[in-house]
Amino acid sequence: MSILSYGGEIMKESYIRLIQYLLAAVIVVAIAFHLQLFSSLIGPGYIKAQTWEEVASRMDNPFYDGVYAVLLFTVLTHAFIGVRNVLFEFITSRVGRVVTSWTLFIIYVIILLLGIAEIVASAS
Amino acid sequence: MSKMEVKNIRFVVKRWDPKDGRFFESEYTVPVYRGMTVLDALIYIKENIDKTLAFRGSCRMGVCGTCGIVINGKPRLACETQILHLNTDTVYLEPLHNLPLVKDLIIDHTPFFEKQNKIKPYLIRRDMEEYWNPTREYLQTPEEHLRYMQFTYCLTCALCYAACPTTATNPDFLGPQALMNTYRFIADSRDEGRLERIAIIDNPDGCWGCHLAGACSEVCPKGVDPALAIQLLRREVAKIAFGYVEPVEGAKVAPSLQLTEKRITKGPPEFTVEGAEEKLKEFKIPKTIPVEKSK
Amino acid sequence: MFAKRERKYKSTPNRLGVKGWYGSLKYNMEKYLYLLHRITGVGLAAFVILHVILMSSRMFGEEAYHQIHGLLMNPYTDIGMVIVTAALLFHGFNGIRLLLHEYGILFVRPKRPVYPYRVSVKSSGVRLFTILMIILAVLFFIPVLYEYIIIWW
Repeated sequence: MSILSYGGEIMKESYIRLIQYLLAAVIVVAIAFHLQLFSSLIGPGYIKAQTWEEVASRMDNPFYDGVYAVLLFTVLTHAFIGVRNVLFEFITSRVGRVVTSWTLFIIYVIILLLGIAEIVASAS
Repeated sequence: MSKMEVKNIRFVVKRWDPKDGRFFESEYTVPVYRGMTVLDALIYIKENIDKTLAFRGSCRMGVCGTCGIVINGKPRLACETQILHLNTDTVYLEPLHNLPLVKDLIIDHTPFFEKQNKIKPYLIRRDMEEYWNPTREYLQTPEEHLRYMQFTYCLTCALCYAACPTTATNPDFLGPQALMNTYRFIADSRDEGRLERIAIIDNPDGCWGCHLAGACSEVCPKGVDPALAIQLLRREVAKIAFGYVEPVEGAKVAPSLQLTEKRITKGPPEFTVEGAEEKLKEFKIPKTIPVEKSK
Repeated sequence: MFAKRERKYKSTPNRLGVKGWYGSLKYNMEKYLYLLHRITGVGLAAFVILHVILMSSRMFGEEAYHQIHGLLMNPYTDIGMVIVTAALLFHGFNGIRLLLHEYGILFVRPKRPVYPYRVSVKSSGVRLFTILMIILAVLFFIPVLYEYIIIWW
């Protein structure tokens, strides 16, 4: 778990950055479905308030459950690594960096569990 | 060139007082002629207006890299900046950012050079016998030289270090110059210390601290382009992260001079063509070519 | 001795801090794209956390969803969503550029520096790709604005 350390281990930070970019590539595709990007190019759909019927239909659709699961994991991990990168510019001490990583990781896990609970509840 | 005065320009200098540990500003009005640089103006101020103003400069032609200061909010070499090209009535001068101050416009390059030394800016070779007792030069083609030639033009003026947004917040960041220098040695075909250097720069304070703002390349007075070097360096690091490790074979040493020496001592080859000497006699060619006498 | 020296340059009074991110508005456009990417990134991270928390209400059924939904049905949220979408589009398209350029893909090669120097980020191919990505982000933003106007009316 070099992601939770100060980032000084050899050849670990480059893996983290590779993961960051791979996640970004996945998000670009997944978010297009999430925002109904293809339909919104023809008509409204981007920011339209969703009615309960639409939300319920999405919750029943296993494809959208898959999209939610993928997005939840990728976006949160991407955000976690990104915010960690920004904070590492201010926090340069070794201890500070480990503490920062762990703090961010705890927030990450809480939000991830909340999202998983939501997806599982809607899928069942 | 005529030194005709064009106009008076106000110079505001942000100075550092090392005794009290604070900044203060001084204002000077300098008559500016066509072709006058900021360094000329500073010299004019020191000679005619304020003898206490401290600044540094040496070659006056953009080669030594000592006179880097922040001119109108952007790091530049004072000797290469034409005042009239700035198109302002007030020129605002500051010492270079992100570096310790000595006095007024003078900054301390020490952390900058320390970071450069961290990445081992010299050729690393495995054959230590040849390294310490070199017989001849290492061979390199012009194409191989062109791969890193652009990055050898660096003056170590620290303008990129002052412009970089990452060094502004992270004091441990190696800086564009040190990372550029790392790539300069990694791309060098004579070098064998690639993995050793990558181990030093592969962390958030090394090459992953760069976010391609391009400010370093923008301010570089020699077109060295550190941003390009850092992106290429990251490609090398990513290759290794993917498991694609090329065997590093440093350039070979040039063959020794012994063979050539033998040839010279042997003298010119003798005539072996049959009947050649007779033919020469036939043409009546003189054996010694007459030299024209000097008058 | 060495530690003392380190501390000396860590407390550099001339260090710009966050001000160095935007500088003096006299740099190349990539520096401002970098700043925007950073701001939108942190903003989107905050939004995602909020979004997951709020939208998890729907696992408690229709009523809970409507309760949260009622809170969000106001013009300020609509404006907020337009800004979030703009940030997302910018972050996405600029991210594609960074993903390629940071690994030296579609970038330039080292060359002989000849005056006037043309550095990598300003060379025509790289700059063109950057501008193309921004134009794409703007193009994708047009339907958002269009939709926002429909909601507004």
